[in-house]
Amino acid sequence: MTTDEIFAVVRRNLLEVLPELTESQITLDHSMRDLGANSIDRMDVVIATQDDLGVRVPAETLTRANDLRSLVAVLSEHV
Amino acid sequence: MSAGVPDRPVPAVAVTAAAVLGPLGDRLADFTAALLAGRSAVTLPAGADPSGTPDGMVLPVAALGPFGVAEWAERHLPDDPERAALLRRVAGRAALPARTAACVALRALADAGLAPPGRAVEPAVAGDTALLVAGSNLALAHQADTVLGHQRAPGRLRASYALTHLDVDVVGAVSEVTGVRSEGWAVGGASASGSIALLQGARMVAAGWAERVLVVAPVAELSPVEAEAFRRTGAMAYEALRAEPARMCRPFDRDRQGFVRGEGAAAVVLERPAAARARGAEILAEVAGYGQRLDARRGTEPDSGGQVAAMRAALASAGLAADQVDYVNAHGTGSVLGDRTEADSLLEVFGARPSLRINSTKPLTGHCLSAAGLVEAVAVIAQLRAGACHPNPNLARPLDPRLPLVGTRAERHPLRTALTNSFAFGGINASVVLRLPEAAGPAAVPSPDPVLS
Repeated sequence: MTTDEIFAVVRRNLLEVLPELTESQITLDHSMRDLGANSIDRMDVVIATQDDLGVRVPAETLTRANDLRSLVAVLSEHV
Repeated sequence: MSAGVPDRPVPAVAVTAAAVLGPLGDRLADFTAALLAGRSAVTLPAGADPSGTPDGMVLPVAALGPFGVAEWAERHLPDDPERAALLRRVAGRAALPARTAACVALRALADAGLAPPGRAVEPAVAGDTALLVAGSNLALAHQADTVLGHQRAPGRLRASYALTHLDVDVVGAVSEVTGVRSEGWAVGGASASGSIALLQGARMVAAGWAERVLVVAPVAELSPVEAEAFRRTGAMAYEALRAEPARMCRPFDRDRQGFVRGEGAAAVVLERPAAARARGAEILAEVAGYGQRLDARRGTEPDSGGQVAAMRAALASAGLAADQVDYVNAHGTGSVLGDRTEADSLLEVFGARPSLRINSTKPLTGHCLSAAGLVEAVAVIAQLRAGACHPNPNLARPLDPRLPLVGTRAERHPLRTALTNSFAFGGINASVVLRLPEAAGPAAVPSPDPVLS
């Protein structure tokens, strides 16, 4: 699975959790916090994304991802 | 006077907004017109899944229908994009109770003149306003959906369910969209929650605990399991008149068969009358007294002793004699035993005085469960201000000829003082006295005259 495809899954789950966002607002340079996701929103996105991708990433690894680019990178290591 | 706290007269508290959200409308004027026209929102939902019911009979309901905060915001906040965006962000994805509570609370604050379009609620006002949310176990359908979803796909359980299963999610959502930040909590009393929250809010204002109180009753949802359990208690209407669902809820009629569930939310703003006048706010009505009594008996059966005690406590705290009440909004669910018991209690408290009017709003709105008390308080205020009683369209054969029941047509009637009842499982009885303010005359709200011939 390419990083583009992983990013698409992250973006789709972000839009589901934060329906106020538009797709063009979500870039790899943003963090979920930048986009208005609070801690529980971020957990919802990460959990749904892992479920979609069929992966389990240790929580401590995920917390080190501080923008969407690094989140996608962490996820791609486990796909 | 019954045992317990002496029922001293209490200071009257002003109601400066009365908002509703339900199938009969989401503005007070529309709701008033629907009530006076005797419109019933009860239907048999098409396409409902009958699989959970042993005989395949879906239950009638006065349903809100699909409800989205974005659509509500388009109609109620067209000139206030920032508040609409805040509402969508905070409550857009929340469970139905939080979504409806956030909207109806904003409507109430706006109607009270406390949330001007395009501007946040004044910090001093927000800091002095407390929040009471009526009801407990509010998001039961959301809980059941989540449990079933978790069984199917455990990996998808949302972390946010840790928050959204709690009643306080409504407190948080309403607090964030309104900015209200004094005291706040959820008040649980099953079907009496709305009335109990109203009377506790009035007490908070009267005691000076808060400058004003926003009382909000969210739509109470049931999962199919609670609905079916209610039906198995024998308290729900479902068998007769299925071809005409609007006739199925029949309070105080001999052919009543049980209650019909309704979905409605309401919100009121309470403050001291002097404070309301000082800021130039219109006082719609006053909470003049209240009484709450327990039956000291666990269970679902009504108890006339507790009902009578609650009503007498409410009258005493309002400094009123029974013959000074013009209108009683009965709990009147249409249940076979409940209505008979309440009829006996009403006769004991009020006698068979022909100038009194007794009525139930539930044939029109359905039984809104934990929201019922507040939805019906708004209905009472609407009728006091219209100087008219809405019909009970299903009262074909009154169960007791001595009861001065409103009949099948709306009725102009001199109304100043009303008592509203809410009785709940667990032996909880609550009564609230509402009245028009001293200076106001009735008929401040235009009535649809064709139905008031």
